[in-house]
Amino acid sequence: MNVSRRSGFLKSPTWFLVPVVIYYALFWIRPTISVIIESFTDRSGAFGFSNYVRLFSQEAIRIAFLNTVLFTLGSALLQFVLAFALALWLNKKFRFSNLMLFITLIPMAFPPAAVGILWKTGLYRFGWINSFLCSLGLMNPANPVDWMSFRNLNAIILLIIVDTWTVLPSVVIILLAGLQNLNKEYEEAGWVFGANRFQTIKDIVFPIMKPTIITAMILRMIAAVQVWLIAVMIFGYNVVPFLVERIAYNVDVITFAKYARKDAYTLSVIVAAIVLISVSMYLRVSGEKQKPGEIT
Amino acid sequence: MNRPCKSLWSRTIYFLILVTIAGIVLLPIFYFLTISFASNYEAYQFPAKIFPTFSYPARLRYNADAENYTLLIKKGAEFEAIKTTSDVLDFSLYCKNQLNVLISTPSVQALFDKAKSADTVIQIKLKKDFFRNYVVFFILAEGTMHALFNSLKAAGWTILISLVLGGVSGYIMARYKFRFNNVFSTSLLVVRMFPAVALSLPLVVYIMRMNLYDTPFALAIVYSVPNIALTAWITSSIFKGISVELEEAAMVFGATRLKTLLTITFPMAFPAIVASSLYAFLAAWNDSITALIMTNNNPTLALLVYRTVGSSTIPNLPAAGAVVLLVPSLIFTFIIKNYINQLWGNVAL
Repeated sequence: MNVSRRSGFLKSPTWFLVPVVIYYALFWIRPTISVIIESFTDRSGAFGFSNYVRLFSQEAIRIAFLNTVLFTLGSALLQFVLAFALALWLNKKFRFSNLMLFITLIPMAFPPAAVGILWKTGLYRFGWINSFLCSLGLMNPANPVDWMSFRNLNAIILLIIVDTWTVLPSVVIILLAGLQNLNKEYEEAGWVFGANRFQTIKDIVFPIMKPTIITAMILRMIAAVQVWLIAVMIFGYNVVPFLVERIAYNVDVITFAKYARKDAYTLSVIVAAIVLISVSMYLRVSGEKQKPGEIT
Repeated sequence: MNRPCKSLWSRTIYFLILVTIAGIVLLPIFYFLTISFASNYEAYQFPAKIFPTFSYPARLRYNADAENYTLLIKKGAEFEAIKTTSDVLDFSLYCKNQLNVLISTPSVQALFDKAKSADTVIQIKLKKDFFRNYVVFFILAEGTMHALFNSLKAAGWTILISLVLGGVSGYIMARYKFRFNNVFSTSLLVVRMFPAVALSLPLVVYIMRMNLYDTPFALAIVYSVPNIALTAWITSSIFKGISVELEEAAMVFGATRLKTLLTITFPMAFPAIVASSLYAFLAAWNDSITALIMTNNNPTLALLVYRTVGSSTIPNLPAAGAVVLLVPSLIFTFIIKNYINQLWGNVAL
């Protein structure tokens, strides 16, 4: 009796989703709408594109935009090549493969602030990178390189390397999962017909893995667009401007400047727009295969 | 065909790759740990050491002409004079602040007397207070413990909010077909990937109106936005795996739906609930941009560590802070590691 009454009530289980919907209305949709409105109104409240015009007339913002694009593409490309090679290698069972997997996963656990300090202690003139190069005899201890004085493209390359060290494990995991789902028989068929290892990878493994690879790359791009902490911790503000670095700069350093808030709002709308476009690409690629529980 | 090749040549190459990869990952971490234990004196040494030291091989010299004492520390093959003083307190403070060596003034006096009577250089061993940087950063520096508690509070609230709201949604999504199921789960995905910065900035205004600005709870509100979605996804996939027949069986024997949930469903979903909680913890613990935007006098530990890097010239203290930041992160990531793999389609480890 009791049971049937309760399940009758539960026949419209949507009621239980109401708190979540309210939460998202209050703390996601409402602030998102308000920030979009803020970005399209000037300080007097008139509607227009003045914020965007002002933003892109600043050289630092244009550089930040370019830097973010360079960083995103560079890190995605490097991480894909390394992660794919590493995943192909780790996918073969060899004597230390479990230990190796464990070791390669460690950097994934580093909080961004810890990554920043780890590399800062390495990159300054008397840091551990130079110490290590000296102990190998690759550098003259009397004249160490000051990595932190790197600027422009060199600085971005340095940041790409630091970022790759940190996030490579997560890309490896995604690709490894894809490889392990791959039917071994396809590869074997390739071998039977006389393909060598490279041809098998290029013509069989790669095409089958393509959705997984694109998924992993889009996920990486979504994170790379939001880079700021390692850049600020290693080089400081203003040295290598990125989009989110500019937001942090407006919030953290020039808090009370005339346009600081408007600039921060407008930039965050731009970042959110880039991320949402990437997410829609992700949804299209993963399409029907997307099932609840997949972790980014 | 898939086995590593057996010739000596390819075995060597294989071994080299192995060592290189392990080195690239571990070397920075070893150096970093060593720096977190280094005294100011050691932090200025170049080249830096890869393993931490526990004591200094040192010498003490009595200078009869000036009636003072010189401390020498071994550097390479030679001993380098680093401090000359006649004052016992000065010497003791120098050891504490620059060398991380805790030595009381009477002990210094005893060493001085010994050096004076020996009338030559004497060998002494200065034992380092190994965890000195950690003590300084966490106990002596003002605000660090406070920031640590703020981080824990923010993480606690995030776990609570995400579990309650996300767990319920996950259960509903798994058990019932409803019209907006697809829309709902897609929007959860979008929420999960939405940039935190675009959320925190406008939310500050509302948070201030709610009188919650600069509190860990306000941070938890932001952290929960993606984490409710994540928890819903994780738990729904687990609830789907728990067969409905089990629940029905319990209800046939007279258990109410609530009792069934508490005694049958939840215990089986427990690992998923733990994993979701750890995810929520990590999100809160690792964040810095939201804390930068939403706090003023009550920073979280991650934000504090970020700030100390800017203000200090020697990296040893911030490094100690970062290691403490790292430990829970490392442990929790490896607890949920198998979980990540499972959710990504059973990577066998």
